[in-house]
Amino acid sequence: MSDFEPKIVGFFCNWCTATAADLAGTTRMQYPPNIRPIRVMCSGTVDPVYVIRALLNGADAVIVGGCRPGDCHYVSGNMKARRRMAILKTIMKSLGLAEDRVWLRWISAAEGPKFAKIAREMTEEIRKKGPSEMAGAWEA
Amino acid sequence: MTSEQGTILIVGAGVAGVRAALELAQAGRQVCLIDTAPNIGGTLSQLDNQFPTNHCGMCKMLPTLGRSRVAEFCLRRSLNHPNITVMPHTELTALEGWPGAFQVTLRKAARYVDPARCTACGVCAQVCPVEIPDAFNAPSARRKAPSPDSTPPMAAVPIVPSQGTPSSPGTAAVALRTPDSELRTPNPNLRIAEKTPGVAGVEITRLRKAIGIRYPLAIPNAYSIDMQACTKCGACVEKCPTRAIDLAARESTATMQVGAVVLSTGFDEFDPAPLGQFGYGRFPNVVTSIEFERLLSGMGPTGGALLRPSDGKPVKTIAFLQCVGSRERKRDFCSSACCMYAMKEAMLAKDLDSTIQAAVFFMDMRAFGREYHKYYERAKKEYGVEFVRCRVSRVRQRASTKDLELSAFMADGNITKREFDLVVLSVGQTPSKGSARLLETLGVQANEWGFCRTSEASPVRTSREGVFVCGSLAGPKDIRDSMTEACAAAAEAASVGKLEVGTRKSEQVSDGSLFRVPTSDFQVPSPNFRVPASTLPKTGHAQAGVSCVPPPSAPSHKPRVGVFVCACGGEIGRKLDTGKLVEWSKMQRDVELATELGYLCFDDDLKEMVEAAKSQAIDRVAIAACVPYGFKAKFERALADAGVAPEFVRVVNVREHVAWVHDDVAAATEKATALVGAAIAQLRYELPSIPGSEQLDQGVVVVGGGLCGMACASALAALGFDVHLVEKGKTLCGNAADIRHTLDNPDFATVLNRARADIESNKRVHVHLESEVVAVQGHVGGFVSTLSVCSKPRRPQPEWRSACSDAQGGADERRVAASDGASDSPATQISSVPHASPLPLRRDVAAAPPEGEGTTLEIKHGALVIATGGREHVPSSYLFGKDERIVTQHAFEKMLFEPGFEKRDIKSVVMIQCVESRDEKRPYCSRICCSQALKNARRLRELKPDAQVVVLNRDLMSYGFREQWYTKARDNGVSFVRYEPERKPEVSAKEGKLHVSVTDPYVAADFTFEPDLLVLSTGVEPNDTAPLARALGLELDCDGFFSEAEVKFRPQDFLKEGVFVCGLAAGPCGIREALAQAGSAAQRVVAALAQGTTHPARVVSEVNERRCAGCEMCIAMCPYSARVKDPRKRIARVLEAQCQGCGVCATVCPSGATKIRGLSDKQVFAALDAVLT
Ligand code: FES
Repeated sequence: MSDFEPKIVGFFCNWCTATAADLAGTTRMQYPPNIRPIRVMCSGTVDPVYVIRALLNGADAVIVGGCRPGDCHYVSGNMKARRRMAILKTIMKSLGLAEDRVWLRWISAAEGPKFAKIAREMTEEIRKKGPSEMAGAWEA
Repeated sequence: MTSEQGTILIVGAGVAGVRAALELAQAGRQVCLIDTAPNIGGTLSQLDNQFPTNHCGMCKMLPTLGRSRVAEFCLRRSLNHPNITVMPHTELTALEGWPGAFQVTLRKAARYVDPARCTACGVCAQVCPVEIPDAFNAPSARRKAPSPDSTPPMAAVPIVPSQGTPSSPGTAAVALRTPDSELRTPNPNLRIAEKTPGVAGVEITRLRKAIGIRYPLAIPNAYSIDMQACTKCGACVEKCPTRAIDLAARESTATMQVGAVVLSTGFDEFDPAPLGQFGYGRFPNVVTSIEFERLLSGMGPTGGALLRPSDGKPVKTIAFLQCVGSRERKRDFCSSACCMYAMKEAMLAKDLDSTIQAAVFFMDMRAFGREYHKYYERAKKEYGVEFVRCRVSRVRQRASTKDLELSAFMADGNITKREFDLVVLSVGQTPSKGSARLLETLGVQANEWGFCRTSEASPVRTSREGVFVCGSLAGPKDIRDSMTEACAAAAEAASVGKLEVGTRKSEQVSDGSLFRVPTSDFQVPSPNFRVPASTLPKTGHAQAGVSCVPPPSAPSHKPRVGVFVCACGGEIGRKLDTGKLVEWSKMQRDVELATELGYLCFDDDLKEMVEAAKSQAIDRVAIAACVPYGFKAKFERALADAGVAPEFVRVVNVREHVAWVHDDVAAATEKATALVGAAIAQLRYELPSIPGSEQLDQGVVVVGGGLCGMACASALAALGFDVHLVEKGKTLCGNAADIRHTLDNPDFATVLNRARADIESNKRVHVHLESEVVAVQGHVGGFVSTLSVCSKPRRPQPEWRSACSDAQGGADERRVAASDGASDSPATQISSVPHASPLPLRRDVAAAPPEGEGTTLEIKHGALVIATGGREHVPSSYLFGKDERIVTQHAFEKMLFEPGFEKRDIKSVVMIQCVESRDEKRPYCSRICCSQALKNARRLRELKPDAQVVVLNRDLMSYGFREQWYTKARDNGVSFVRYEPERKPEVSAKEGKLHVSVTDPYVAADFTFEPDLLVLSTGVEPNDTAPLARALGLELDCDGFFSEAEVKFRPQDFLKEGVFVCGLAAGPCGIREALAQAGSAAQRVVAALAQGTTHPARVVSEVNERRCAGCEMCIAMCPYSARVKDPRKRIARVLEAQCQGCGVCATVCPSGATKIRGLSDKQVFAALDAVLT
């Protein structure tokens, strides 16, 4: 399984996490290229359906990145995201799906190093887990 | 040379300057924002988190209306407003002319690196042989900044090839060889030499190259050279791929016409090195608060781990020493923010590692204000931060361990000694370097400590007319107060620009009058920035607040997408196969054109892109380039020429997100194609922006006719708005009528009377006395308020005359516009010819009889300001009400001004502070009572020099320049005795005498007094505003004050647009702050309404009428009240003006009826498909 390269979708909030990614880039922090970032306005915009759709469409994992609690540009979008993701994970678990392929992380705009660290950690972990069995389940 | 009438120059681009610039720009003014530093952001850029939220939140001060143009990205990274010109490296050297027509001379320091050509690639820093201490992480106090005119005073973080590696000893050696000018003594790197031998310590003064950037992604994102360190070896010049470096560059001067000037050069931290007793500069483990702030930062020298500078060991115990460089004989003022930031730093440290022990050594814990006391309690109770009341006399270092030993004089006279790993000096604020010269060149008066002199009655005006000040330059303060002042200064500056040129001569010293009121000789001209009402499209309001124009749909033809890949001179091309990316793009559906360009940020290549787009009739563009912060706006503007609307331009950051972070070219190229593919897919489903066309009503309702309400109405009138001032009581002035004197102004009544007279004679202000707002409907720009008014014709009441004292002159004869409208009232006149004025005031008087109770009045207006004020709390403890010798501060003040007071037999007075406040029931500090006590004690001693005054207090909140009055009071023989909240003073009345006994825990002594008068400082509480809050759908906090949108950055706003708050209604504040808030609220109104129409909305929520079931989930969820129910159709509607596009509604909508224009499900799904294939 060592040469398995996971595909990870990242939903990053425009105000913090996406900025942290820019910061990581500016300071040349190296991290694996497996995360495909999609800029969303706020982590609160991330509909659980997006996550499910990503997993069914072939993503091995999904990470939602938002501002730290209290920091959301739209007041409390991230808190809503947290609740939503918690529910999603519970449902996934009860359906026997790998709920640990969905990550939610708070990365503030000043935390470039944290962004790179999480990207490394996540890729490593998913690499270990192997391909997601949800991928391709769409057709079935 | 630019010559633009009405441009406003802002000097100093720290947080206050940025705020003022944003405010003015939003109001349609042209702004020029200059700073001597190469990058903007000031001190705030060094602070990752702010109290009392322990978060950043800076983006919250971005405009919420018209945000699509400006508010796209983190404000620390981008400041894009078409009306703001940012000029770093620039200094103001001369100011001539008069308000409205100043001529300024600007000196632009030599820009050795051309910011227009610098792509921040960092190649230069790699080859630069010179290393210097990094000023960003070790601020100017440690590294004496070179003078601004010779070289950039601030410079930057190094390019870090890998994170967090502490510099090797080798680097330190290089550092010690750094060419050292006298300016940079004491050499900060001596500290590195002091590290314990053989132990890897942490350099706070991380090193950077002589060419660098202040911090990554600074604004502007361009490098600059520290010329004092530069050896002019020329290595960078050769290596620079864009030829942006010219070591022979010269400084230049430019002149321009401006209408007004706002000074906001802020503060520098006090330099503690000369204070030998703390060992700063000698002991590596003694740091300043800003250095500590950097140690906590993830981007700081230790990568966010709290390590000791001397040996790199994790810090376990920290001592914070307060009042370093404040509250001493030579600097007899309080820096106002240090207590709060010390608590914040202690909490943040404990957040990092909860086992850390933090102790704050303080004299008075000045957590004044509404939220701040709760923060103090939180630090104590939730975080377990220790607070020790004493002044530390010296810090010593153990030679072997480099641990620090504090000796502190406890108040009981004993000396205690304690050891700590790290000592943080809470350094005070001092006027920024260069501000003395600036004030002198401008001919603006400074006070004895070098801060700009202002008066209490006009907090943002300087001694020179047309020059305003805000932020810490006007006196030390925190961000919240700076925000308020920045807005107030913006409002005042904007009203100057409106005076007709030459109608008033310059050099008039501010007369201390409260408000600026346009008099007949300079009638307010129609504001040049406002769209004349007649040219506005008349769409009207179908239902209050809901636009009836259908939103534009997608163009019917097939999309024609152009893909442009910027090679960034090889920066992108090296790690990414750009050729492949282009070829791949060409194959994609809808892509008509894909090409690679050298440097898209350069005008030539940009032009090429525009030409190419034009020739292929491209209507959507995906650009693969670098960070979008500075360039996206530029691309959009250029592409607009080719007929591509801004919403159809997407920038993919393939430099920072791909090329610079991945090594594997194949994988990187794959990722880049995925990202570009996602952009193409999203563009395919992009919809045009909704054009803003809804006309905004220009009338304003101000609720509350107290000092703040009057000041706000006055400021609004000066800015050309029609104001309805609604006052519940029979008279204007509110609490201010009871104020006879203040610390700064012994004769406050005269000032107040002038203000009141101004309001009454102001044609734009319509006063409604004995009236209340009972219902408010609609949204920003289209409110309809219902007033219940007393219908009796209004004449000044007798009490009013007495309340506002005697110096009224003919003021009483002036008319107060009767709310039921005498036929000659200007409001009625306007309503009869609705469009004759540029500011049509539509006013409908409900069909109620002119006489009798219960008359209502409907007013259409665009915004509403709450200035309902507060009142003195009436206590129930300390025998209040049971003995007539026990009075409140208010009553005492009145007594002091009664004729014959001198003759009364009062020989001793005891004052008790914090009565029934700062406790469980009222967990806030009222901020003003200590000043009241000081001023009344002063007055008493003036009248009766032998009277004995004792002030029993917990912490004396004489913040800012009030400190000098505290010192003077003590010098003058007023005694101050502490008490602890657990052991409150006891009051009894025995044998016709009052007994007050108290235990001072610090002197460990009991005192008993037998005063002739006991004065209770009971603090303020808000007026009962629950009905108003309900009518407006606003929240009150647990103490009954209005809770603002964001405590730090939006003190006057609510999440609901178009409603603002100022004065005591928003929390306790003094006169100075209240007046600044009034100006600030006025400015917020202007920013909301000045454009005349709503703004185009790019990312905005929409409802599919057929799908919406009217479940109202979205209405409950929307944080901005931007959703309403359409009662007729029983579906949800969006108020586009208020919608911020956060997308919460779309996520909760169970029927999929909501979509976010610009980020619809369709677009996300398309992007997902693109990235996963
Ligand atoms: S804006 Fe970042 S999570 Fe809401």
